[in-house]
Amino acid sequence: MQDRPTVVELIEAVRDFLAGEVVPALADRGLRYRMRIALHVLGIVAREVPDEETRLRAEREALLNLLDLPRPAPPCDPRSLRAWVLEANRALCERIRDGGADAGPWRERVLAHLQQVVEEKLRGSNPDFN
Amino acid sequence: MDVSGGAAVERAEDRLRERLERFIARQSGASAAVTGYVRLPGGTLRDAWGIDARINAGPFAGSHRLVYLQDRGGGPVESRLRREDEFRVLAVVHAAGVRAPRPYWHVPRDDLEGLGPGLILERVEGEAVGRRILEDRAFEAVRPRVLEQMGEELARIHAVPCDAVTGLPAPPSGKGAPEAGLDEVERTLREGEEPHPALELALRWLRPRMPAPRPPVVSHGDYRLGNVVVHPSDGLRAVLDWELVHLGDPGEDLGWACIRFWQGVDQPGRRGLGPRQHFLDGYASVAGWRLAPEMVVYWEVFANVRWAVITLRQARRHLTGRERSLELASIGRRCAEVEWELLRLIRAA
Repeated sequence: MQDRPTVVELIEAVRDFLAGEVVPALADRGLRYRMRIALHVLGIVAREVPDEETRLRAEREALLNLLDLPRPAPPCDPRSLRAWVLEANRALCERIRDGGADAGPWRERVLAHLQQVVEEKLRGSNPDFN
Repeated sequence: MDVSGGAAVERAEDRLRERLERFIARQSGASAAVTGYVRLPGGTLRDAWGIDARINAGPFAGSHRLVYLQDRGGGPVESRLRREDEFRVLAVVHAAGVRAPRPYWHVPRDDLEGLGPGLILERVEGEAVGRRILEDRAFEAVRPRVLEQMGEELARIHAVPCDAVTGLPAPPSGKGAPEAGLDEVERTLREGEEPHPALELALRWLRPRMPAPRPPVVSHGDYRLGNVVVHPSDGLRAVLDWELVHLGDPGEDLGWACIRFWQGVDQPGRRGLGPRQHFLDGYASVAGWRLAPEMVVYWEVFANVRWAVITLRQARRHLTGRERSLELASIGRRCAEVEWELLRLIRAA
């Protein structure tokens, strides 16, 4: 286990430094604009680093249900978990392309699932979105 | 603290100023001086410089407020016009009376003066940054009128004869613009390796609702708040960014201007310049026809899918190393906002 500051605490220290000391010293409008983007991106990182694995496991669970897949032992390392979710999303895309979600109750389930996934993505990338 | 590397920046700016003076002098056939010089917010593809120039004789004699749009490099982007073609488009629409910046000169890639390739255009007075037009008090009075003007101006663009500019991208023969558009966004989506089920769902929604082809028009391709110059007292002064012009369905531009992302028209829970009806009415008043309400929804969904795949493509330009850029990288993470909007639209339809 690493010493404090944690990864998130370090990112926040960098953000505070950039926002508090660098931004006011930037004379160039274009640089200020890109610095705002950089700060926003660091915000994404700070929000998404914690609990990434928990979120991937939740999406995996939802996809297992939606695609009615057999339940193998869950991947234990984050990398293969990520690969599994990616593959399952490809399978979901294929079923949508084949017309599986054009109508009926499964369409409703797909819509509800995607709504959840999109909202989860937004909590990381843009929590102020409305 | 000076983190912009002051002296180096100044030297680079002096060089650019000298090159501009030489370029303008050669183009105008008279001596020229750059009297003012300011960097403007550019886009993801080019830097912009505001330039005040004085030309001392000849047909251009006098003072000119110019903008120099300098390509940032990274190679041509699919479906964008070459700069010389964009210049020709500007010349034609400007001559046709469309509110577009007067084009002065095209700076070729192998320019003798060593300027980067790009365009030099008239700098139109006003504001182009959407957020400021929406929020600054200075625009309060003119805001209700801007959408209507945007509609009217779009109709004028669509009235430019298709054959007035040769060589514009057009749907492949035997295919209508709606079908060609859908094929293209689908192809762009497949180019990426990441699965996007929400976009697949939206494509499935679009296909069976695709409208019958109608005679193509000169389509702006990026018509929206953010690409118009608004003046605090006159409202719409100019339409910018003509690099995506093509022959297409009039619905493409109408839907594009209405999507949530650009914040041009009011959305549930979010104010824009005003209700979309103002925009559509403005268009109808000049065009003499209007899009059926269900077709407005169709083109709005299409525009959202198109924008979503563009965000993904922009991020890929960064990821593949073709053009490393923080801006491009971060745009990839905005796709979720568009997916959210698409789910809302196809549920409501």
